[in-house]
Amino acid sequence: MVEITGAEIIRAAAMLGAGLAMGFGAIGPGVGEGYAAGKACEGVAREPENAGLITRTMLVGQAVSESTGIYSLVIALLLIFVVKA
Amino acid sequence: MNMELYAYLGGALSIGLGAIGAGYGIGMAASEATKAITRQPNASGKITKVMLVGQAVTESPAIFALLIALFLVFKVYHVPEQITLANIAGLLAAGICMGFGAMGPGVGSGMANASACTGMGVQPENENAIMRTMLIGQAVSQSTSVYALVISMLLLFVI
Amino acid sequence: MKKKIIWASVIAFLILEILIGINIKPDMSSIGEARHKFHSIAGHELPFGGINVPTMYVTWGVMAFIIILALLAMRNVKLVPGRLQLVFEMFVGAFDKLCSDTLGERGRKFMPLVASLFIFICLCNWVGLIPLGWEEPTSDLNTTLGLGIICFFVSHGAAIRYKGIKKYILDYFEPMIEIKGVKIPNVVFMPLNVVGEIGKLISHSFRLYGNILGGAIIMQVVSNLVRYIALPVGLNLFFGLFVGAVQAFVFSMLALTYVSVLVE
Repeated sequence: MVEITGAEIIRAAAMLGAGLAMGFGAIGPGVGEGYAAGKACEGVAREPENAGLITRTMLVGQAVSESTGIYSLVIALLLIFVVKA
Repeated sequence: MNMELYAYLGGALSIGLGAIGAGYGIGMAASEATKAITRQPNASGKITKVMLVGQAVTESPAIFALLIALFLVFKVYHVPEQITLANIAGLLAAGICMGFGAMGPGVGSGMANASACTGMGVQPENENAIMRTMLIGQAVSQSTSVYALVISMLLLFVI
Repeated sequence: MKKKIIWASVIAFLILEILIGINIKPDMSSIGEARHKFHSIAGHELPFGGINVPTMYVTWGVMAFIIILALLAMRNVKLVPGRLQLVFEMFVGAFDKLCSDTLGERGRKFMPLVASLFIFICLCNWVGLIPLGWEEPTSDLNTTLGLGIICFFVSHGAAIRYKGIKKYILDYFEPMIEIKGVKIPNVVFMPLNVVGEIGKLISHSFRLYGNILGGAIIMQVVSNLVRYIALPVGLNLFFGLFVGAVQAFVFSMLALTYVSVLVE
């Protein structure tokens, strides 16, 4: 049997919170970046001579839309390592 | 507290939820490839190649989810001496994290793959440029699922 | 007649496999413990207990194989190439074109790095195909993280060299606030940009690690479940050859892309 104290419950809740934060936080950026990648593929198919420019624009856009995913990562790491029981 | 219960629950959540996105994405790519082949039957070999390579990359979020699910299922063989409530919550949280985390990137990579197949149907001679853009875009759009994998492994092993 | 002999031998082989396989007891208890050695970073016993010796042997073996192959190819270089020289020329030419397409003329400087990353990672991923029970070095986090750190330093060094240190540092304060035409560095976004750069490193190395480790563990589990009968061949073809080559290409392409994003 595990002895359950208040501090233990806080730590366990932080673990669950980290999982939820990163899990749900990964959905939006994943779909959004994939959308950008898809449009870039269509653009490259139409004008292959501009492939470098299109790829660079795609990467900048993806880096910006990934920032919410990075916020989730930071919050999850904070919850795992900073919240001590 | 029953550790096995939460390990099995987490494993089921991980692969069950994680397979949704990649499955949908791969299906989208296949449907677009079929349309493209209908338009350009001569280029069917090239279109199939782009589709298969893209699908192999698309399913890597699902492979991450399967990896975490297997770790969780076989975690019961390696029970630590002192189980805390945080350990048990970590097992469940790892499953939820990887499960939901694989959903979005799976759909996103599938979208990139589908658009690449559409593009191949328009201009099959641009195969190399399209394939390169598709691979880079898919790899970058999967980085959030890699973050979910990192967090799940931290929850499983480091805590 | 020939076909009949082939089919008969395949069926006899399968029956033999099943007879042997029934006696093998599936052993799953080693899964989930054997391959992840990185828990030693959590704070205990790091210094030399943390080095994974089998990974090092296999890595050195792969490196020796590449060096010997390259020496053999370059032993007598002719204007009309022989077989091995032709393969190497095609390989180098393809990567040269890839780099100059992505980065222009100065991208050719990064060709040796990108091409050698590809060939090293590809061969490392294919090590699992050899039926000697070796583990792929890329299914060990130490290898992939090391390669990721190399790419990290190369891309940032190239950025400092081509853009100048001032512009490199100012890029961390993007997006700038613009008031009356004067651009003011945005202090709020600086930590997030730094975390974003570290996130690139993490996703770059963990993507390869997760894919190869996932493939290896899936093969181990499924082979155990079917008691090593018939199915592992297909799994090895998919996870070993195909996914291994695709992920090696993705890794080297991403290395090139990170350089190009930072340099431009």
